[in-house]
Amino acid sequence: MSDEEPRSALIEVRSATKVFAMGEVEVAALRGVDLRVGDGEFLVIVGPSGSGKSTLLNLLGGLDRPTQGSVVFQGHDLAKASDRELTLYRRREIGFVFQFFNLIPSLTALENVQVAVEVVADPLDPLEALTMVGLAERAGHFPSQLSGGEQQRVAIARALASNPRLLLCDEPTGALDSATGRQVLGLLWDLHARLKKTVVVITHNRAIAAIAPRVVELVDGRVTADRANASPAPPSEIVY
Amino acid sequence: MAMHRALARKLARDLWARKGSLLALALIAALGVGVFVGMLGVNRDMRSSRDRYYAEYRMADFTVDAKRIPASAIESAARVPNVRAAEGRVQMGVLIDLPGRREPLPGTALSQPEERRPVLNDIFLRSGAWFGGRDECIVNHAFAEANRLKPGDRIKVLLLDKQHDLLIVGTAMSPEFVYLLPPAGGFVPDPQSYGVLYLPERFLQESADLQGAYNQVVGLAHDNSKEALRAALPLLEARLESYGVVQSTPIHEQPSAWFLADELKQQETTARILPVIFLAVAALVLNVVMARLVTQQRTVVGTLKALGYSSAAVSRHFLAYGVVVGLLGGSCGIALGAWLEGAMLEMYRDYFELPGIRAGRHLDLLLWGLGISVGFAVAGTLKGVRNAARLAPADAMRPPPPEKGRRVLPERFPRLWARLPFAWKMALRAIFRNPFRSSVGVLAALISTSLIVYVLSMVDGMKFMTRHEFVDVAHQDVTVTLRDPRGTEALSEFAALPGAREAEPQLHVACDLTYGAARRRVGVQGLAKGSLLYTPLDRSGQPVAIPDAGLVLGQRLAEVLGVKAGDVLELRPLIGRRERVRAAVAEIVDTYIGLGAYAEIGYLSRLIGEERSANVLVARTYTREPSAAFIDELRERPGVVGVTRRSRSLERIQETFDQSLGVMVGILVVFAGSIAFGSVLNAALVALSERQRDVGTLRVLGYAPRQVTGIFAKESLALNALGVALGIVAGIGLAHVVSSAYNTDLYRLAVIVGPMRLVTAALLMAGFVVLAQAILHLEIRHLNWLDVLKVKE
Repeated sequence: MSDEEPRSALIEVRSATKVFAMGEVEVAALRGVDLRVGDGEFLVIVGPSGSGKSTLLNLLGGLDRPTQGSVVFQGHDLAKASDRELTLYRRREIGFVFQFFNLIPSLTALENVQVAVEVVADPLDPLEALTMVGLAERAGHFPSQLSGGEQQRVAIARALASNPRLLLCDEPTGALDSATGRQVLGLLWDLHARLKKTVVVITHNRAIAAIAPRVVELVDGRVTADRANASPAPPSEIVY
Repeated sequence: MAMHRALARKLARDLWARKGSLLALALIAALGVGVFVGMLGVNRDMRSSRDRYYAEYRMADFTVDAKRIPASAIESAARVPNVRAAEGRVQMGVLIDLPGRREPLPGTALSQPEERRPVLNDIFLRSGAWFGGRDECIVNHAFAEANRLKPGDRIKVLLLDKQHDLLIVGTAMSPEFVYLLPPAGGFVPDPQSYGVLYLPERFLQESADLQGAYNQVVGLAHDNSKEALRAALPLLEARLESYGVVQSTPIHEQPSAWFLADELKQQETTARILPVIFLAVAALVLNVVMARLVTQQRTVVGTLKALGYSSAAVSRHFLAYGVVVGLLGGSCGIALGAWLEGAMLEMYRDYFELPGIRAGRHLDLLLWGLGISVGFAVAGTLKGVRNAARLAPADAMRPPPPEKGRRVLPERFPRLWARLPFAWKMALRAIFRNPFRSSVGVLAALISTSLIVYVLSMVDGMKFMTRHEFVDVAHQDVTVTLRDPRGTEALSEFAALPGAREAEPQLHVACDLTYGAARRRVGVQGLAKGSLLYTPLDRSGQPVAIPDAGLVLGQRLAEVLGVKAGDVLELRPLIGRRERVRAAVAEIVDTYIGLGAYAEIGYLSRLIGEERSANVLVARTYTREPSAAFIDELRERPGVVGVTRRSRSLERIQETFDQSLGVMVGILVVFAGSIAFGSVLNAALVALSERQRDVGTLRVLGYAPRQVTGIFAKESLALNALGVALGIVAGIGLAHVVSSAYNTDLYRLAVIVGPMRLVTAALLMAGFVVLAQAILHLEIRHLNWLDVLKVKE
């Protein structure tokens, strides 16, 4: 890492391309993306479907490696990391929140949080994590007994519980009605403000971008805009 | 079965996608079919070759032994009702002296006509020619081969205390000695140490002091069923009474025929039970796999129905999976069966002197094998097929309702539950929420384990029996058998042989014991009180105390006769004066030798009308192995008809164990392991297909593939641990059941299940489970878990 880089960079994507071989044709999902995410930032990446935003999130989260370019987390290039190193990276540094929650159906809310806790060194108390998302009293319920919003809050608690530096949220409101979606965004914002977590949300929904101090737009695998939002709207006020 | 083209293509691709799982199932079915086709094939091959052999060489239906039967009396024997033919012959115990063998070998001499003509118990000349003169003999083929004797060689044979130098003119086999057990004991033939010689009739009559007479009548019956012979033989005995009848033996009790029939019966039982177990497990596991397949293809089923495919067409489609697995298993099973048939016949050829056993073509067996395989496999698909047929198209197009969050049994113990890591909670919930699948898993593990435990316990049981018979009970180095009982003062003469340390007399008397209507022929062993060289033990390992008077009966014999200690029964010895006398039952002991009976040697001597006498001497020598000088001296003693070294008998049995038992154990363990492997693999693959999304989630959360496999393995571990524990109990039970089923008059197999064997069985099972989990691990490593997470189920 060179000396010119700002010290506050948590993770940086440099000229990353990603090409998928789909049978006999090659599809470029990312065509040279540069993105710097500062420590403690709240960032929304918006783009239509097929813009490559999920691919970008996968690179940030250590779920995949770029075809070219690098993804540097605290001085380590994830593009050159082994499977094992990526596994450890996800385990220690990243909390994921998915569109479809991805809770384990045979485990209760509390147990789903425990899953994340059991493989890390200094986790939060699972019940405390559930308390933070306001679901302490639903700890013993199975996913099938929870509403969509509740399930997503359990997923957020799970993402928090391993005490990660970076929270990556892939369409976190995509499977929820708008009222519930606002609550979930509010929760994410709150956690960012209170716990100083770095949060990256990707969405195709431009309305959501209004809550973020910084918005990155992605079209056809390229960053088309990267702008600061001087007056982010409170999540409870957005309409989508 | 008509099937739409597109569906046929779907079937082929679905099968291909699940090839590992279906192959594992086909393997289990193939083992079942292989055992069925192979063992029943062997059974038919041996049965038909036996029947042909018996018919062609006129195997006698009965034998009557007597002292001396004039040739003229044979005629009258043939006139007894149900007797079709009767012939006289001479049978005599001999000692054979072979160059290079330390001790003279026991043998049996039988008369054959000077000029070859068809007789009962005829012989099949394998090499050489018929007699041309007096001092000639034909030896049984296995004995000749084992001792490298061939026509043209000469052997020294002791006939009634006179040694003859006989020219071997031929080697032969006889239906009478298909399975020739040595007189020294044990369960296996020992052709190197025991032989049968055929001598010209007149020469043997003269040598046996039976000029113009015989000591055995062999005959054919019109009806040779057990009942008919049991009715006819007493009449025949009565007819020959005045010639000193010793005993009569129907073909069912003739040792070789008995053993062969027993073996055939066992083959048949095994060939019917094992395949059912294997095919049933395959069907149950297939049920689990098919139920999952239909759930997974729920929307496909809905779409097909929406497109206008009938429920019948959809059912046929899913039934076809079973048919394919069945056909695959069946045809592999047929190939396996052919191999098994060849391998088993090869093994049988080593022990059974049966000419012309070869693998026959049993088309009907092959069809049956294929048929039962398809039948079981189709039964295995029925549950899935029914689910598919019942799905209403509208329901089927919707995703299945989410997994119900229901508490399972172990959660009723909240304190314990709270302490469990989540992986165990997942495993336990999966187990309790899929009771059918879990039961199949436990059952398969139970069956595999019990088979392994049973096989190992059988080996230990046989080893124990051998040790019991040749080590714990017998302590002599050499056993000398005399033709007739002699006063025990003869003992001192043997005790003085070079190298002899001590010697003890025994009196072996075959007796008919009668109590009320029950009657049994048994060997009664007369032992000296305080005997040290031969100490019968009961089943708890305690020495059997020999009373001054009265008989000690084995448990089984007492049950057969219906007597208890204190009862007085009638005893008729088959040697000596053969007069009926009364003998009290002093004690009943629980021994391994089923129909054993013991008495004090002096008491038994008096029962046969003699002073204290002996016909067997057991001796210990200073060198443990009797010296050449010791044996040489014995050779010259008149009346000696057998010299057996204990170490030699033990070695021979050891050899057999090492040869054939190891192979059998290996095969059965692999068979049992295939059940465990196939079941565990399929259960794991089904669980993986249901919980792919969980795998993705765990991987995203930073779980390494090994850790994910570990979580899945817990379910398998729990089910198999239970299955193994139950299987150990079931295996011990099975060993006891089989042991009591074998509780024949011959012997009772000890049930020995050492803790190390249980550990071995558990370790073997752990190995099979680990193997299946290793395959699961590969699947998990290569699972495209990112894609799995992208779609909503």
